[in-house]
Amino acid sequence: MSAIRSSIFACAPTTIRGQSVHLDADPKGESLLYTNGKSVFIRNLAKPEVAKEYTQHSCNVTVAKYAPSGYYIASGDERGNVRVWDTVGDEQILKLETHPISGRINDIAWDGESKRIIAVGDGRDKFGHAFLADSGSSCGEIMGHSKVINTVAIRQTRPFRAVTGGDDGALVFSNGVPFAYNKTIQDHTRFVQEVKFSTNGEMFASVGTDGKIFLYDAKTGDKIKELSLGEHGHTGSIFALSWSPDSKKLLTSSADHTSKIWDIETSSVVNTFDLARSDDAVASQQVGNIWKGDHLVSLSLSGDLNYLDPSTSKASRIIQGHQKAITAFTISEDKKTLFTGSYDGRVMSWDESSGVATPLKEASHSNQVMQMVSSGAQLISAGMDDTVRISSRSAPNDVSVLSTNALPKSVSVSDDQTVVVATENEVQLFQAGKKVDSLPVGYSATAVAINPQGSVVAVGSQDGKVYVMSLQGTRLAVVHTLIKNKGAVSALAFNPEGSLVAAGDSTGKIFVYDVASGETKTQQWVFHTARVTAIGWSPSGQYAVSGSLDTNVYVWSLDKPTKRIAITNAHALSVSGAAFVDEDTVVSTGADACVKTWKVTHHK
Amino acid sequence: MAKVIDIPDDVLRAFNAFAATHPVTDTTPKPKYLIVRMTDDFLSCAIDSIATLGSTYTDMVSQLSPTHCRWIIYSLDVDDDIQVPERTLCFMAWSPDDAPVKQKMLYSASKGFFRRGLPGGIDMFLVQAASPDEIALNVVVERVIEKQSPQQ
Repeated sequence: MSAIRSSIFACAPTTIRGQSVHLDADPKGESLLYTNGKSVFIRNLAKPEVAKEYTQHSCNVTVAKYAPSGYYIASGDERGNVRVWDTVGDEQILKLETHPISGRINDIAWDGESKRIIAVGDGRDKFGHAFLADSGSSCGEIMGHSKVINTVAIRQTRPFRAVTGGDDGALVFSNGVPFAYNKTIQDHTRFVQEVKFSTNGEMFASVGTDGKIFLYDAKTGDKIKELSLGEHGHTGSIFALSWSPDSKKLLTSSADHTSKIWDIETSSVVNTFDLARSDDAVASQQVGNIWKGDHLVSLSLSGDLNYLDPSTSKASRIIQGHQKAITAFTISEDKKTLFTGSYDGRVMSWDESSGVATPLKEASHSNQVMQMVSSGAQLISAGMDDTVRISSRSAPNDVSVLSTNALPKSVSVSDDQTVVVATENEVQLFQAGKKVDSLPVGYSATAVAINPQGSVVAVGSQDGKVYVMSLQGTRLAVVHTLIKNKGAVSALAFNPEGSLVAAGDSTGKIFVYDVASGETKTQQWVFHTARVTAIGWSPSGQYAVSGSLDTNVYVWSLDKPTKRIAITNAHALSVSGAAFVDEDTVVSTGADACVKTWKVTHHK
Repeated sequence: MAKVIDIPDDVLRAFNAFAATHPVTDTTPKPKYLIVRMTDDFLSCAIDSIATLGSTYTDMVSQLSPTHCRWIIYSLDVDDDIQVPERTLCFMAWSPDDAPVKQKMLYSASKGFFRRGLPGGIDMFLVQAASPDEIALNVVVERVIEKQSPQQ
């Protein structure tokens, strides 16, 4: 009687327009390290569907960097906290928690011995701090900047040098250790976005919003040359740079939608990767990159990870995901495709076995997706833009957009593709892509469900009542009023037979009612402590899974109502969707923008 | 003021049979719990059910009705949860949300007298529950441990 996580289909990195995203990879070049929300993700580069997460930060994480030893990760957050934690094993033991600066941490760098860390960003009295990774005690001063520091790099071999670059356009070169101010280099005319030392430790390079790339001597800080003077350079801000493993080439990513590989020796562009997407110019700005082993990855503002192939100058693979909280979730009838909708209106489909996500442009809304359901080849989604979109997976261009004239709170569909939508004071019926009836109700509707047979509709209300109505043709008539729930009904689900309805409410209690008699079948499913956001039945109707705002997922059994399987802390912040793929597999989605799969060993 | 009720001999005998024995020297297997209800006139109480040998906490929970109050005396021990360091007698007042108000009030008013009427009854660990999540084993165990372990 337990549940084990079998996979995380991770979210995309958080991006902010006009800011560089400092990606990192583990020293072996196997996995990519990035942040989204309050979580840090370690994602396999070759198999992106394999991921691990770290969820111990209490506010949004901004950057995470591997120690050169590969045994530790340092991650920094919006409030200036840095946590150093163990990467070996699943416990992720905390080694150090410190508060080096008072504002947002923008970048972190480790020295070559994995002993010292420099964290930079925004602060009241200083913009950066150098400290020891094991004790947190100071090992130098980061001085000389008059504005926020965006980036830091430490030379990996002795003698140690550190470079920081900030919004004041200055590069500050420091000697180490202990790190102390050596000189200010004032070559950039605008914000410096990223600095990095070459792999062999002979040079360092800097890029900035002025679109320039400079090369400097790593030991003295003397300028060698400006790389961007060559032809075919970037025409916009440069946000990121990475050195090739042999230190002969440089990868840069820019707001002009391209990434370029530069040859250091000849100052020329070797490859230009045009990553512009025709539909959204801003979203295809390139804001981060990484070059580790054979993997060259450039990050779009939309969160897409573009795997670059130098032999063809094209992206060989694009990994996509949600950047914002997932708010709606459903599974296709054949249980092979998962559909997720997010806070920003984006809708994606996921292959259940491989975890590959594809955006569904035709199903996307201009505002938060409220709820999604699917029936046959149809995907029905209700959004805060006051529309219900019915799209067909077999004919992607055939989309019907139906206006609900009010915020659709909830949507449900039967096997014969009758769609019911609940708005604040109406229940609307759609058949064959047309509104056939709308029934005003004298209460505030919060949730709706139609049984698979299309004969019974249940409507949940703000005061905790569930109205069971029979549906004949287009007529709805109230049969029972179920009154067990105490809080506003937030989730309703009919079992596959259509004989039972589970109603979850805002107090975290789920009651199962018999539809025909109106009697309560079980009232033991009351272990959530906050609003129930989703309920899903297993194919046999024997089990149900529920997700809640309390971050937990529970698997319930009808036969053994006193037993339950708890998956605590399933998703950081809250769980927004939960459903069965087969009798032993559960999928859940949450505000952490991830999709997680769980193997369930059932109730004994 | 506590309401006075009769405690019949058979309730006392059933209680003594498993609760008032020495937890260390007397190792014969005993039933785990006793469920007591008030009589319909609320002037006395009666045995609702006694556990059979080998029945568990889950069996006890599944016997509770969502519409009727009950008192349960449960002998919490290592076989329920290995975190429990020593045998603890728990007095559980089951007072579900959906029981009639009169019943809930009378059970609540009488439980003090009932406990005092049992030998050592006042030392039992009190658990009050109104819904299944408040009477879940892990919740009860957590509270028992909290009580037993010395304050930090």
